[in-house]
Amino acid sequence: MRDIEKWDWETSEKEILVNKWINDYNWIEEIKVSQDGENIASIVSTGEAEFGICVNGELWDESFEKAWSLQFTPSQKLVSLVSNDEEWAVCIDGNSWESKFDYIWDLKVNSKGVGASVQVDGKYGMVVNGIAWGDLFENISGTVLNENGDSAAVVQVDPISQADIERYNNGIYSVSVNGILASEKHTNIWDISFNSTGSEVAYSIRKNRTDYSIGRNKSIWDNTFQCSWKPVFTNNNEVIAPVRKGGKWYLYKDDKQLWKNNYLQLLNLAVSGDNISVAISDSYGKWSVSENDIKWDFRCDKIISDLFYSDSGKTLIALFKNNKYWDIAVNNKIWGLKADKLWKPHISDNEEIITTRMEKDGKYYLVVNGNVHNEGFEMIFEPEISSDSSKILLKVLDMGVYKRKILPLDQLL
Amino acid sequence: MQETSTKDSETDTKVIDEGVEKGLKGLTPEKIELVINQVLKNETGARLKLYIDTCMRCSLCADACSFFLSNDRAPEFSPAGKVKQTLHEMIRLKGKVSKDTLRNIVRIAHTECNVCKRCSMYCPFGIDIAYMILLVRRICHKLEITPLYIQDTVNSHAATMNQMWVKEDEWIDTLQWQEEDAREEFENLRIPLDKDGADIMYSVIAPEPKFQAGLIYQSAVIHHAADINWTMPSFPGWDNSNMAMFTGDYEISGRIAKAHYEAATKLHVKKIVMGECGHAFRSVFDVGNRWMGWAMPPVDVIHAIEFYHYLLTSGRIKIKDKFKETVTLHDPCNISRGRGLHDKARELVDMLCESFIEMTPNKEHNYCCGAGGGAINCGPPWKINRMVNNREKADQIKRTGAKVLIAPCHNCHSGLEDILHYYDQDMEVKFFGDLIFNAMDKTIYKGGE
Amino acid sequence: MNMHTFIDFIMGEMVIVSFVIFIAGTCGRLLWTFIHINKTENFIFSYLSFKYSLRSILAWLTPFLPVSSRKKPFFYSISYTFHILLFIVPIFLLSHITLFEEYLNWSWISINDTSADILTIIVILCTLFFVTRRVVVKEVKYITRTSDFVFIIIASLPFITGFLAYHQLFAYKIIMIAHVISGEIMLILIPFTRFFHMFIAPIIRAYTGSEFGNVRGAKDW
Repeated sequence: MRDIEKWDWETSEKEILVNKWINDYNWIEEIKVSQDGENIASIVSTGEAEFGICVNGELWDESFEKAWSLQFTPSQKLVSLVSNDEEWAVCIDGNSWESKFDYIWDLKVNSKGVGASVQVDGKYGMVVNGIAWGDLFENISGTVLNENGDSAAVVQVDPISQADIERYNNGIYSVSVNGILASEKHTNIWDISFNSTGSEVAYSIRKNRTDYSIGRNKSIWDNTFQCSWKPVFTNNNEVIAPVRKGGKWYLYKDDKQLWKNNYLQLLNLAVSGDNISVAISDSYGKWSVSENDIKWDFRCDKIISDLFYSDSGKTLIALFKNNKYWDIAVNNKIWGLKADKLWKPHISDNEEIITTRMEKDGKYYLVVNGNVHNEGFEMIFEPEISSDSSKILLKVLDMGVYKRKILPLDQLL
Repeated sequence: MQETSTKDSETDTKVIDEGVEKGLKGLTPEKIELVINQVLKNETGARLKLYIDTCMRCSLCADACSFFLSNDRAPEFSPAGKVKQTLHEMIRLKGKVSKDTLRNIVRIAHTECNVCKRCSMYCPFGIDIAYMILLVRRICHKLEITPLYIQDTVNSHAATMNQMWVKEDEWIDTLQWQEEDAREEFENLRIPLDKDGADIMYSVIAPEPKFQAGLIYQSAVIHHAADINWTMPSFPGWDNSNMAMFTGDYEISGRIAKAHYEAATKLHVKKIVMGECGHAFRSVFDVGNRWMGWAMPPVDVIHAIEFYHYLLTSGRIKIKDKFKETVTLHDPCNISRGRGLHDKARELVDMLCESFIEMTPNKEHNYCCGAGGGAINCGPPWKINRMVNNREKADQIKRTGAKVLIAPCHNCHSGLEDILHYYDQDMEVKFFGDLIFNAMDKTIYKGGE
Repeated sequence: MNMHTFIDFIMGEMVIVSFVIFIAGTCGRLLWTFIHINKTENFIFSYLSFKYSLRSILAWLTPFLPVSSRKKPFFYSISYTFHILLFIVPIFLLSHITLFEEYLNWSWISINDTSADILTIIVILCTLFFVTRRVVVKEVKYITRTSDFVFIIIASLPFITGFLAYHQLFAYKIIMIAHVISGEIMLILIPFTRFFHMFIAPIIRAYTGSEFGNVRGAKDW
């Protein structure tokens, strides 16, 4: 749980000397910072083929032959994929799971826990909070972990010999939810979505070499399409998906055309309440956003990489690249950042503050409501906004020193 | 006097390809007619009409084609001749094409044309004949008569987002294994996985982790020594290859490009640097992106030649000992005709090698390796034909008299090794990465030097 | 209709009709072409670049600059000559100019009759070369269709008949009528047949030149 009120919003600055670690270890890897900014961690090399996890300068007790994919969970726990004696496990705050695997990857964390893909004796599945699926499969891809702790993935159910295109065509892939097969077999399956309760899944399928459709649990839509992208559930448990017909993209809901207009491309479907938005291309090489089939004014020529609603659904944000630079559009208004790198922003509870970080000419900057803070740093980690929307928690690396700063917003804006 | 290799024989037009045969078996005349006409009507436009209406049948394209030259100027191998036997036949018969004709059409479109676009440079009008051959392949895809092995590759792409059925754990495990091995060179070397905000995402084609992991090792050493802020994705999207664009499966081709660019945007990198592969470059830079609606790459894409050129000219990599033996250079179509990198490639050769001998014709006019355009991916049934159809290239290489052949493309590399072996030529094929790895000063670049 | 009124017609109204069809047909087809591109493949416009279109067209108009032309110098010499003379001879022929002067009071410089005669023979020889090439060169023969010969005949007829008429060989009147009609047929056919390549070729060239130069940073000649 993000217990944001309990974080320290008073101490204006705290420091941790990271450059000291560089002397203590052979090398340190990427610095990871907890959301509350109190803990920083890195995988460190402690000897030949020996790695430790260093948190605020202290090593975990256990050392590993290999460690990777270090990350903090929303509840400030630190997780890594670790290996000793050629066995892999998930290690959380220094305690490794008892369940061990031949390989483990694709670490996913959320408020309900930790999940990952696993391989045991050449069979594949998922593990969630230490418990692996009962049934394992020939292969796995496209894993999903929802906020209820349900896991799903596309699994290869039947083995296939080299170049057996006939068997492949007949369908060897299925959806597995929590290790149980939840769909028919299809030629291909991609992009699984859970509904809000985790009781249903929707996904994109290819029925044969040329026909695509949308699957929902064990059934599929009657319509076939030239292509389809990831379906999404609405709050009313309807399934919406972008589909391609006659060379154009349409938005479909529960197997029926939803929007009147068609587009050259529809990507990044976002749903909030009754509102639906998609990144669209309406003329070749030009991108915009359409909300409920009404186009925004702005156009960019490269890509819209993220499109998402605030929790309330009042704010719709697009992260996009135009010409050479990255920028953000909030409810159809462009910030004008000209960033070289730009991250997905945070929105305050009252929706008045939107903050993110960007890189420009090698320096990292804090961005609040489109204003670029004038101080550039070696690195900025994800900034946070206090629940009363009055302060920003800024986490930076500056000349080898990690700094946790609390910045009152009235000074920033 | 022009030397000619001696091992030539005729192209075997009776090759049996299981994928094609199975596909043909399932077809009815109605289905054939329907699919051909649907594609011609719904998926073509002004370009095809202009090309068809404008071609004066002058055959000036013939001399551009290495298949034509390798087959003693047999007219069926001229680019316009190939269009006549394939697309024209479909148009002329209004889709009422027999299965035997279709079998012929698949062979021609898939194994007797590298879609290298050289003929566009010999047509006085600049007609894009490769486009027409690819259109034929699109029809073959929709009729499900694509050759077996390349279809299997596309199946792999669709299921795993890489072309070699590399499982997700195998990919990461290979990178970690190469990282560990490469610590022989630099004890603190890393292949940083999923490093959010790295400057560069390095992507490779799936044969690297599958068969040539040493190339990832070399590359890691080069990146590390040059002190590049780089990363490789641990998740699908790491493979930049795309055989679907060559079988006409544009939906899968677009999906592959989408995965690749989404990997780059997820990692917030500034650039994608690609390993030494030509077709993959064509896919990422010029083909897959277009189907997605990205007129130009949404994230800058740099081929290894440009990257190495930057590393050497900026001093990030210093060359200790130049390569001594005489080298020649093969210009891969997709990065010379496809990106104009031939001059940079020559500057690289100059920085790396003591003695260089040109292969002629060269630069934009170089002959395809014969493996490109998906030809090598059609697999074993077609190999001998590929050798026969590629005699011109073997002769071209032989005339250089060089001992080492640089081929900065995977397809070219494999295809050239095949013909050198077939035509008994004692020559070693190398990547630029091989040369740099061996010639570089293995110290870490310090900024400001 | 007697012979004189017929001759008056083909040398009067019919000339105007031919030109009108030629001009209107050309404009119409060009317009349709652009509408068709816009409707079906408008992505083409995002790659078109004036600079690279012009670069490609000029490179291909420069004799023996393209590698293709250097590989086939004999063919290209004949082809260049033929295409240039195809315009120069009829446009600068004194008797044609005289007619224009008579009807429209327009005139311009002309070439003398002896030169015109020699150039006409050259054009006829060129067409003979094209026919021979279609029969003899196997890769050309392989893709040649009957219509290709018809094109050459249509293109050569005005010159053959013109040559015969000038030298008053055979039945002058008939030859003269054939000359006028064949010229008019050619003019009328341009917008509706592959003769239209004279207008489409630069468009294709512009697109290919733009793709090569603007997108891929390479030459296309």
